[in-house]
Amino acid sequence: MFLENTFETAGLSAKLSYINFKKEKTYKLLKPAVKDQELTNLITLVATKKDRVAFGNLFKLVGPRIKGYLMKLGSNDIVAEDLLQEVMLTVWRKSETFDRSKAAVSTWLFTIARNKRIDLLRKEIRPQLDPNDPMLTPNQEEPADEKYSANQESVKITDAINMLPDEQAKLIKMTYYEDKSHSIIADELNMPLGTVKSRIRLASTRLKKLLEGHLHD
Amino acid sequence: MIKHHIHPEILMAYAAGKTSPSVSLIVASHITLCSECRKGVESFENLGGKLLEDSDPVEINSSSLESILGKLDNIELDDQFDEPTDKVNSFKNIPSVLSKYLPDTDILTDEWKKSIGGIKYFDIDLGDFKQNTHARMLSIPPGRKLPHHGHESQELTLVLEGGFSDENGSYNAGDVAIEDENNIHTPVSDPSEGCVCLVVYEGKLKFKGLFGPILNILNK
Repeated sequence: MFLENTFETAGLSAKLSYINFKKEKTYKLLKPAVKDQELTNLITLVATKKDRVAFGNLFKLVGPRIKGYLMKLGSNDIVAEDLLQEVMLTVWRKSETFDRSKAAVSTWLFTIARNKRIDLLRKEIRPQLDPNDPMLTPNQEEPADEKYSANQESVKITDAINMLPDEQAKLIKMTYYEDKSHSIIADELNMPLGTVKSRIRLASTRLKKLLEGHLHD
Repeated sequence: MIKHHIHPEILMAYAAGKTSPSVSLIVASHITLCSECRKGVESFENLGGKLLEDSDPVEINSSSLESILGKLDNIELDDQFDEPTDKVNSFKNIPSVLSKYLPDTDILTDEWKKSIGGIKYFDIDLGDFKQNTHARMLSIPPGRKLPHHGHESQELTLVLEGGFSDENGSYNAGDVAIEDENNIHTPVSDPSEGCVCLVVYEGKLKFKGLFGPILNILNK
């Protein structure tokens, strides 16, 4: 059947990109995300031309990781697929709002996946910053040589995480990856709740400084 | 100039999508006013992006792309019928993320409930009562001393107009005061302007002062 063939082709591409991702993984913490430019180009094509081929390629490149992320947060295969579909439909709808001068593609996708999860899975309201609010205070002035660059940002984050003690890095990752309360994390790590709380506080404070470029604080 | 900020672990939890609706409301309101904490949230969102990039890829169902492509036409149709966004209240000094949850009136506190001592309040229901988290707007007349109270858990207060001071310092528009179970404080509102603030608290407030027992009953 025609459709089945198409499915197989899509499956094969997903497998191929899976292999590519695996290959890259060894370097991942050492080198910047080389694909950001490629992803940005695809999103631009979707935004300006509603280009379905570009959209399909984008899906093949980012879909497996978004699904992996959602499953790490506890969704089963079916739920993760549904959420992934919703994420990609939002990407299609909102592609014009992606601002490459402000954030990496991965950040944009992360915020969409996060919001869809809250909205559809937890069925909760998520009050969000209104970027058009007249009350919004101006951004802090950035020095001219610190203009946003997705690659530099990616290096900075990798460095920051690598500079944290293992245990703190682990707690940070648990905050993002696992839908668990502090008390469940405390049980799993066999630590008192107060210790978990104070270490997350310590780790996030340190990380914020590192991410903002205060390497020696 | 904002002096009292939201702790990094709350900014991180917000960026990671872990905060309850009420806590998200106070974070979103504060970062409208505070560029430093807004930058912090952006950094933690960048970290989320990096961790997404780092997730182990999982193979996608072979029918997935086809099924998404099939939905794109419907989306384009739907979008043509998108209603303009709902009416938006706009109150001076109140971030729009917050004002849309307030009663639509000419004067901010017109439909708020009256409490003792000229205090007015309005409870915002974001559906997280059952998680024991509450969001409440408070309007306190000038120079009013609030009863000495402690907390079962964490309390965040964002000042929107006027200010207050307590044992820990003074707080003006945009500042956030964070109290936890170890603190008992006695806030006093600004002697000339009073204070309008958003308070988000987990558990119940425990009033310790003379009127404590009555306030505790009013507070359910």
